[in-house]
Amino acid sequence: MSVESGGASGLYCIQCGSPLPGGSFDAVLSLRCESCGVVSEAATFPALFNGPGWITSGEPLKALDEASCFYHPGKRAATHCDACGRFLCALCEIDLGGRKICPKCMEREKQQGLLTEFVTQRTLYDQIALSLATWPLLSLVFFYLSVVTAPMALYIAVRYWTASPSLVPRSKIRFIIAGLFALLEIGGWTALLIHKVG
Amino acid sequence: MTYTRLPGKRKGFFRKWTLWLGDNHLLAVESNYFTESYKHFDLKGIQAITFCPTSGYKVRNIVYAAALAVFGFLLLVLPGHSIFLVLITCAGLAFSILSLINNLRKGPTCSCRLKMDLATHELPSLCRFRYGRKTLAIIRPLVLEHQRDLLSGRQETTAGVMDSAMFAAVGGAAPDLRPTWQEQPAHCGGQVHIVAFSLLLLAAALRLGQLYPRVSSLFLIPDLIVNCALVMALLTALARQHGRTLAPTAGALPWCALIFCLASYMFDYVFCFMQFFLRGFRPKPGMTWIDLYHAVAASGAFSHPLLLKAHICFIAVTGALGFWGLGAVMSGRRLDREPQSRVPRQPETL
Repeated sequence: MSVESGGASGLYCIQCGSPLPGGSFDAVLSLRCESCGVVSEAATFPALFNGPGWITSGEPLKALDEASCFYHPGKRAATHCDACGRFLCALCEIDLGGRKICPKCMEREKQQGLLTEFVTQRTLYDQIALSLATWPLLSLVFFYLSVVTAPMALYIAVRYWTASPSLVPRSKIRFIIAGLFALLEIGGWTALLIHKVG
Repeated sequence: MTYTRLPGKRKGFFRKWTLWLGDNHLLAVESNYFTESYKHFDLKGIQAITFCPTSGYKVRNIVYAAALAVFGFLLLVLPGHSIFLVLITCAGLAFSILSLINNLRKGPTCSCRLKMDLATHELPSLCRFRYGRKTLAIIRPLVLEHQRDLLSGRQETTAGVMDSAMFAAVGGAAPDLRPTWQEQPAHCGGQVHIVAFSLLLLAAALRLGQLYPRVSSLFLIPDLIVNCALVMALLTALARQHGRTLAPTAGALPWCALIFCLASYMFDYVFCFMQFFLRGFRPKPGMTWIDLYHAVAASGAFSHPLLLKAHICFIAVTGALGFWGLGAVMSGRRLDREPQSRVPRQPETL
């Protein structure tokens, strides 16, 4: 079960960059770098040994009665798009989370924000609201800034309440705490203003 | 899409790295307090995960041990009248001990790389071998499951790179997923554990001696020395048992003993000092830490009912832990000497 995994498609030592000796995907291996002597642990998977060969450009039509790709009429249809139903060749088939879709549907869903696979960054509005509500109080010296930051925190908490803050599970507790702090601060400043004016 | 948090987390001053498992991909999250950046790794495209040891573990151990030694030395030589300095030193000592224990608990550090089709990415969240192995144990079967079609011979492979025996094994036979690191050498007989548990018994005996007012002062300094040695022995035992095969009870008892001892020492010293100073004692100029310790400890276990109860509790618990630990280690040693065939090996499948 051993293969040569060093070289063009193989593993390299993290320390010195030299190719590591052979390995296999049936176990987690301890590989000693022959150059620097560092022992690395590696788990290899079948994709490592498949190389770029799995990328296919689609088979040409062999008979006239065969279904052809919507985008490449000269190529045989391998599947259909799960979104629009068009026939697709192996080149046009895009596998996204188990769904097979065509490039146009992918582009459309990407623009609509339906594909989380393409989300690379999110703003944490709950964290911003919480910071605006609490930092002026925690700093003690700059507590008077809460005149401005408290309404801002409340606005952000309300405005982005339904917005998904993160791809990974995250509770709304920060929004709740930020909103409560902001309301208390606004109430305090209002009471102080009334007291001064009165 | 639902995500499950995988073991391992790395924290910087303003950044945090975590790793999550989705339905068909890994999600590496880098949090910058106000934003989060994501990297998706399709399980189908993962080619290899490598862990390379780094020196962070050793460096941190040396730094914390040095801090521990410095604070310990300061605690012994500081004059008694600067009680504020003593408290600061105690805080530093406690911080060093806790940091050292935490580092020992987390284990050796590593750098983790994830090799995909086109590039190799670093996974900062898997910065310890311990978390890396746990994560790998979770995701490895899933990756193999997602790449099963690559094994079935459907796709072309580069000639000469893949062994034909590999394909022959795919027809239904599941690869052996047992990580090789489980085949670690057995624990070194548990000698350090035996020393640590023996010291526990000795500490219990010395505390028992302090209950006799006429001879209690004789046990003070030996008690201090044995307690220090006990903590060091327990820390060493914890360091040595990391990643080794040891009976589960024998492996867990040092943790219990260390936590109990540290909590007990903290209570004793804080309570003793509180009692002492509340009674109106004021340290004299030029009084050393040892003199102060003698003066405080000379009040004995009978100075307060709560202190007496704590003493008896310490004797009972350390005695029990000592006997229990020695028994567990000894039984583990006997098991090691028995023939291998008696221990059934559980086969693992996909």
